[in-house]
Amino acid sequence: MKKLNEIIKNYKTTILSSFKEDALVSVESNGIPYSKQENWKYTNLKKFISEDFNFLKKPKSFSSSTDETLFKDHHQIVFEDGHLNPNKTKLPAGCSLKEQSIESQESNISKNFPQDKLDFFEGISRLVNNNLYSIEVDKKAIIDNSPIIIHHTYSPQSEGSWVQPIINIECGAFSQSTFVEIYHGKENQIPSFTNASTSFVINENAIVEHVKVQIEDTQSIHISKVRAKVLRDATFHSFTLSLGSLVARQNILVDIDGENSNSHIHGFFGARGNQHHDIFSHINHHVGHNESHQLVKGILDDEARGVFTGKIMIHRDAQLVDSTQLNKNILLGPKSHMDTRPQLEVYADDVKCAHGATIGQIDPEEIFYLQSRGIKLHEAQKMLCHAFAFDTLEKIKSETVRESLAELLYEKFEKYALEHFGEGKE
Amino acid sequence: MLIEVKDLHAEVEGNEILNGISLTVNPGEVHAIMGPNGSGKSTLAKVIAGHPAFEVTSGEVNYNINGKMQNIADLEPHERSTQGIFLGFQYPVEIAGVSNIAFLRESYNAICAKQGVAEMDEQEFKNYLRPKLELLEMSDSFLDRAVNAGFSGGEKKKNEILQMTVLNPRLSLLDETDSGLDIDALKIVAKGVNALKSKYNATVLVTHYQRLLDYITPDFVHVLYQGKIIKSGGKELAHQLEEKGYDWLTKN
Repeated sequence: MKKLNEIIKNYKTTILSSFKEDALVSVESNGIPYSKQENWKYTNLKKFISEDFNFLKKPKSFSSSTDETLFKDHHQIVFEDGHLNPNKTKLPAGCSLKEQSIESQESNISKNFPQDKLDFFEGISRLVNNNLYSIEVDKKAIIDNSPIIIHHTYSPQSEGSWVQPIINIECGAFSQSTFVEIYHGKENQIPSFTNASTSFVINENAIVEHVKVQIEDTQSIHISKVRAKVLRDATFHSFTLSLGSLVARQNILVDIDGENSNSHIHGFFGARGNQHHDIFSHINHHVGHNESHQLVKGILDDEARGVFTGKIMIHRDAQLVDSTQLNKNILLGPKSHMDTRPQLEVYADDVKCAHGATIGQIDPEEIFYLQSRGIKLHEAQKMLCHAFAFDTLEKIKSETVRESLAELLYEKFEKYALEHFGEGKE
Repeated sequence: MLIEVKDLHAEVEGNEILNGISLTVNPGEVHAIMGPNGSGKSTLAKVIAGHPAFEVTSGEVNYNINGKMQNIADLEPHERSTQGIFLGFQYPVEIAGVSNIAFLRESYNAICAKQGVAEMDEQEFKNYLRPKLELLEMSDSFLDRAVNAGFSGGEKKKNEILQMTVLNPRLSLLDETDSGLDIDALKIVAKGVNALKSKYNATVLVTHYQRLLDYITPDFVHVLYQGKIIKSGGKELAHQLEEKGYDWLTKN
């Protein structure tokens, strides 16, 4: 375990590639994010992250005993402490995986995501990681049994133990695939810290669905970035289900670089106790004649806090873009709190944009409607809350995935947050 | 006697909306409550159904439960429903995330549970629904759609009548069920209401227009104005109102 400033000092005295040099600069200049930085206004990480860092190394050997209960009928790609466990990993046909040196991917990264500004977390991940994982979906491949990427954190030895997986997925032209990615912390004695990055390049006419499930244990800190570059005629469905962690900050950055493409960036978060969930989404329309749609909902119970930032940028020449965004939140707890920031920046003059955000309680008219049909008050409240959340899950294309997520939603959230309707809490 | 409203006063946020209403409805009767906008028609229906926004300040609503007239002031809305009071909403609520069939079945089973009848499984329930859907000229696809979400005005009102036929209430309060309907939809809605009519149940139609009464013949017509019934009569009263307008009564 080392202090951040020692880590920086050590790297400074080492000879680094220009790629790592840039990463070091971003780590040093940005520092651990705190609320004075605009993008972190409502999530002050300095309150939750100490200056001590310990990066979990690749274990010498991996076990092959499997203890998966989730999605056990699917092909699995298993990460333990941020490193691939090849013994448990099995890929479907039409799909390959390589471990590559991070520097060998430098030109790809800068080619695919030229606008990306390095932040602290991206920087420290690039600085510390020597390798990343590249998944390739073959051109025209149709992958039916969607592979499940599972991240476990097994062995945080001390406070401030970080796992930092980097996964780049390239979807070949005309391919179709679904990736479910689950961050599944074990109930450890010591909280784990995740700093994950998953990037997609979606080539012409490819259709990809990414369903990210964050169910880490409720002490852990989860920081992640999902990035996608959407090319001509391609379709990207992204869904984020955030139920775990003490603090979860999930960045979703979409670069729309193709005409006639469709991007659907949806999500749901359910937080209770003193959880803090922050969804930060940035959708960039660089070219015109395409669509993006976003529905993000949250339910906050007890003293939980939620943050949604939804930036949609339509660049100057991106004419005839059709973009919608809606963020709706329900506060159940008397001390729960939500901050939402829909941000629309439009530089093109012929576009269609609609956005909205709401924060409130369950609508009393809806409750009365159900009651007037014989349904008891607390049953009506439960039904409406469930419906509120399930409405987002219905955006998931794959039916089996949707059903599994509905179960997780119940197990990890509804069972607690909705069951105490009728115990005097209304 | 099915329901007896006695000198009912009700207010919302300190404003008195119902100003001493008395009304008796017997099984087998159809009553029409008419009146200009803002006269308290919808409020009367909502108060009987137990809407929490309205406070009853004086008077009583007595309803026949197991042969005895009981004051229902303390009954929760869902209890009134399971006792056979149905409110057809003027503006049915959209509930994204709940399918129409799940909602109908939940509601139907709530009534079954109250009556001590076994609940129906999904297939039985679908069979039970089929003739009702046909009656209302609704396709099966209505069942899988979210409750009222994205329904047209006419579809929403038909869905209200579908719920009514499923729950088979003793007292139906239909709040402006005819507003905004085209003539074809109105005929279908009327067909549904008429099909359910029996000597055991009663219907109270709250309406602004006389048109609905061409398709559902009322036994009694009441004119509500400023929270009071200012005139009651037979179905001919509705025709007089159509000819002379509400001014004929309110100007005196």
